[in-house]
Amino acid sequence: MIIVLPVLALAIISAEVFLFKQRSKNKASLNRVQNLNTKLNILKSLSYVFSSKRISLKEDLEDIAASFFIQSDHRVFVLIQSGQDAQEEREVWRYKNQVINQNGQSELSTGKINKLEEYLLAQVLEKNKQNQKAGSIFQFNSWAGENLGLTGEETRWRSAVIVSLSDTVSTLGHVLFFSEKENLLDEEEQSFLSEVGGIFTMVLRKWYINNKMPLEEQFKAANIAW
Amino acid sequence: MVIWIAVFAVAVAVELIRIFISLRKDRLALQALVKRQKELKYLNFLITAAISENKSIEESFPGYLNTLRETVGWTYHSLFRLDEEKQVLPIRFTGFLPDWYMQDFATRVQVRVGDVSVGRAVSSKQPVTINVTAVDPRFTDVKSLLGHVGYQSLTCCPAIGKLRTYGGFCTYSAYKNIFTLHDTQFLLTCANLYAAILENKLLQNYLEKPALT
Repeated sequence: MIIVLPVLALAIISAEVFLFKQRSKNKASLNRVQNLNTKLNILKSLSYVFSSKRISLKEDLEDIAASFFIQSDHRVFVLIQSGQDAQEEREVWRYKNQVINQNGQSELSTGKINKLEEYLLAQVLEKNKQNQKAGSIFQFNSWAGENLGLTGEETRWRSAVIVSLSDTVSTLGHVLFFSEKENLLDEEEQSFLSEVGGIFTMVLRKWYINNKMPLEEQFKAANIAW
Repeated sequence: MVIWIAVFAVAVAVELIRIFISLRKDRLALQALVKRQKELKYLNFLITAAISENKSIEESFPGYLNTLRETVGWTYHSLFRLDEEKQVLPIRFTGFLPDWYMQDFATRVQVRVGDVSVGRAVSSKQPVTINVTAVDPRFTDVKSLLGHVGYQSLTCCPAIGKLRTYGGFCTYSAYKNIFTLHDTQFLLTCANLYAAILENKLLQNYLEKPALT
């Protein structure tokens, strides 16, 4: 009996230790599931952009911003469309998360490319020259030493991720995601942002074709038996 | 002493139950984790293929459906085309469905819009899940076929593009009550992406060869 009781006590203590370890493991797994669920939810919402009856790229981008910012850590995304030639001015669509504005909506600003965007894009284009492939993703974590002379909101960002929006024919543009945190993206996060970039590419391609064809021609094409 | 031993025995039993519950929870969390990873992997494959491949509709879609089965699971997948003039849905592409099914069922039987599951999904523009085909009243017309095709539950989603509804996408399972709300939402995402890819390919083909169409 003297032996049995300490053995039982030891068994209970061991079981408690085991359970404690198991619980933290379980918590980590659940956190990861939650994280992946968030990503899946964003992609689910983004997929509706293709069946919406929006009549312009601006409206589609508004829908994307609404779906993306609800659950993402990134505060701003900037879509920079490639010009038809080197001389043509690049179109810039800049969307801010509603958290920054406090007005309940993601805010759009268009206009010229700013210094930080110009600098990061130049870096990407240089890298892309060496290794061009669809959905290329680039991460920047520090540009403090570059002496870019940044002012205003540009100084807030600590990290950026840039995805090249390329299809089989050309590079349609780039999308830049800015964050106030210094992020080192893991493989999962990179893959997710590539997918979001892929959605942007599909949307840009949709409007590229839309601008080339009158609506009745588009309906004719869509009604062809496949 | 006997009381002490009884107390310890009860404590050990409680611990064992707690360990069992904890292990089960852990197993479920891991299963969910693996499933989400597979789903994201498939969406990554689909989006990457959509923007980087230049294949025709006939070449690309069977591959998309086969990869869905290989990556995420379920028994069969099929994509139906909506013929708006006749208001029927002939089957167009299948993943892992046997050849005899294509010959005996797909080429002869065409689902009417509003009928069975895919017809209902297309007419209501919403996903339709049938948990047990054998007892579902919507399946009485095709009950004789069910013994051969080997599926017991299915989910059908409409494939809606910007310009029109292109058809329906169905996923079949050999097990009853297998589709969760999460699965249905994931399959609807796939259907939306299929429609987007389809629309893009049709418009691109028309743009490149307007004389032939």
